[in-house]
Amino acid sequence: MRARFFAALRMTNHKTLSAVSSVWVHQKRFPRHSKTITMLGMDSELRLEKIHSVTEITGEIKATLEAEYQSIWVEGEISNYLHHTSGHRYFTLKDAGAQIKAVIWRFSAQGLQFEPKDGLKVRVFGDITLYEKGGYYQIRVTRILPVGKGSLEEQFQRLKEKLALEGLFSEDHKQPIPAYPSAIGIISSPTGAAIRDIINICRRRAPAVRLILRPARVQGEGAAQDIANAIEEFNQWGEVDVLIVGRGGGSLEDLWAFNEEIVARAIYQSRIPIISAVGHEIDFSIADFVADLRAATPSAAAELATYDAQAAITFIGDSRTRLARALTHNVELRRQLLDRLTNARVFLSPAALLERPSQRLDDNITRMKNIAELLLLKNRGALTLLEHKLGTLSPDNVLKRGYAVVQRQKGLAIVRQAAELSSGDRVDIKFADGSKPATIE
Amino acid sequence: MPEKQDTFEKDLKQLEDVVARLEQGDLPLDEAMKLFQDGMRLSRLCSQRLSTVEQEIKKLVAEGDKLKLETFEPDNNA
Repeated sequence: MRARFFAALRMTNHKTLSAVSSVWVHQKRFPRHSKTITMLGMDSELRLEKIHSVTEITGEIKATLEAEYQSIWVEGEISNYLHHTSGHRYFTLKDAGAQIKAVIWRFSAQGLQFEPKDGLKVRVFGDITLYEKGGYYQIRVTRILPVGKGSLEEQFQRLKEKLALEGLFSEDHKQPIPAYPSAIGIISSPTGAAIRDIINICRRRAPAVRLILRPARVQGEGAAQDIANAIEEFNQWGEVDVLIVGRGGGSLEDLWAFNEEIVARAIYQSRIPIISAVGHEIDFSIADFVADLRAATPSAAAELATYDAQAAITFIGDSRTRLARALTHNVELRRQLLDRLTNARVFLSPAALLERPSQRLDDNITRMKNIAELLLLKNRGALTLLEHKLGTLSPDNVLKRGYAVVQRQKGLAIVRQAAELSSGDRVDIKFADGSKPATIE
Repeated sequence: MPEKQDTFEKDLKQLEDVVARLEQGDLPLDEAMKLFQDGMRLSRLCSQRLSTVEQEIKKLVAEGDKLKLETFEPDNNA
């Protein structure tokens, strides 16, 4: 009776509530009401209660349990591990105080990163399910992680340190991502959002770029090897300029292939630059550390791998405009220079070219005049005396003293000797006051 | 194919250089004319390259020890 009561209490959370009677509802509203408890013990009240079949009550319990315990983590030790021929795995998870049955269905088991075994301490993720036929509940495991030594986190740290020490993460080794690739290689699952995102973004940004996919397993058994092989194949083939290696987001185990040493080494050895694109924003994978460039998501990788064709087209258009403008400017400069030259004064009035020399000449003349005047002033007295002397010696003064000069009328030559004259020669006799013509007898 | 990519990037870079040199403006006219023509030629080459459209997506398939391309159709394969 008590068990049923508590089972009913649990049902308060559940939609099966609507199916039960109003009496039940009343009781549940006031579960601690002493009168109700008393009533439950009475035969007359027993008839009010619903009688469940085993199936019904199991169904109700199942509904309650499964609604309450979804997506939970449980930590414990594995025992009674059974890898069934069907592919399903059955085991018991236990600790010091209790145990719980666990199952990994075949399709979930494909994602296992390690084979669980008895005695291993693990953390499992899944939902509680109730198996009606067996009358027990179990945890349906979708993820399983080793705890402590051998855990994924520890493996990750160990490998990271080892590879870092070897220089696999060295910045010096990283290759530049080509700015304008003509072909991009993609290593990813051929299905799913990652490849679709990459294709869409590449097509939108750079439609001229060739896209070549190498389909690869990106999780589960053999994924790491497949990814490593794909990297080698692209290097062998050689016709892509950059590689995107990645997958969409997932759990740590889903992404585990990208934390494997074999993938890290393949990335390191690739001659083609690699962009890692493991879809997890916060955590880094080993592949991220080795890759030449890390993108947080496949979409981001596609953005990083491609150039913006539209921007390039704009750049080319701008370049043409600038070329034309620069050439025009060059010609314009030359025209201005020509204008400046042809408008220069020398061309407008060539006389101006002579201006300076002639001015110099003028200067010299002025200076010479000045010097001459100065000389004249200085010598004025001596000059007067000289003039006087010259005056006394002049023929005029001689004539005044009573002499005369005979000149031929023809040519006015002075006749200095009587023998020069013949009969009939016409002469002028010059006196102080004037001349008289005469004829020689 | 890497050569093709190199050429494009080189052409684009050269175009940038040609524009920069021409913009310095102190070049003899015949040299400026030559740069202008070079620049226009490069710009044509680059835009031709950008205007091609690759429709198909290929799939790299290993056949024995040989690698070959097949058409990949994302929607059908999804």
